[in-house]
Amino acid sequence: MRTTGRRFRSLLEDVASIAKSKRLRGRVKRAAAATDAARDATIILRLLETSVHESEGAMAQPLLERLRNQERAATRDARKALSRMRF
Amino acid sequence: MRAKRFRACVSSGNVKPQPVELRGLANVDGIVDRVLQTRLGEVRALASGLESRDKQNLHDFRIACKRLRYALERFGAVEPSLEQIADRLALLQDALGEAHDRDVLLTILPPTMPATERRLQQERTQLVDRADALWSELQPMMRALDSHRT
Repeated sequence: MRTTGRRFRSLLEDVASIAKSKRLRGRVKRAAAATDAARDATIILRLLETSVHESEGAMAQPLLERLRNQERAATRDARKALSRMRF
Repeated sequence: MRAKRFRACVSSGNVKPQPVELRGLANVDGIVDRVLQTRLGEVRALASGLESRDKQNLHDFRIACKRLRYALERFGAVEPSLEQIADRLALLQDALGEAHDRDVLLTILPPTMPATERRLQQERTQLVDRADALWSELQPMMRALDSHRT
């Protein structure tokens, strides 16, 4: 959904001079943006899980926990925001 | 505080797309040409980010690459050779995206994890090197795009 939204937004930006679509662009932008926090938390969490140095596992736990919570909350918020959107 | 830094790093400073003036163009070739030249111009203008290696400049360059790639993919039906450039750009964008992910993680990493920090910085350097090499490889294709479409 996110990638499709971005492609669509890119198309709308490219043809903006001949097809006015400010409101639609705004909606598409907001739809993709609604997933930003969930995507970021997920990616950064996976990266941290695979990058932690063997000697620093314990130190990483609070940050891992925080990112897991962030991922859960952001995914829930994205789902809610997307379900409310209409095109 | 860290969450604030995380959000700021992830979402800051989007470079707005340059408007593409399509009024007055009467055929598909003209539209394809104008869109690609505008987006190619943006990419070239921001390519200096690969030299500075600054995280915001690299991020802006990556976004410009994405806009060009989407345009190339869209017009691939009109001209299949464009898809090859789009595929190479996707690899470049992936390398820059992974470097950006490391930048984001580095901003929130606790100072008590220096070995992990070194690892992430090393990987970031390698990813930017890879993006730089891919950008060099892309130059003949970009020149061909220029001469073919103008």
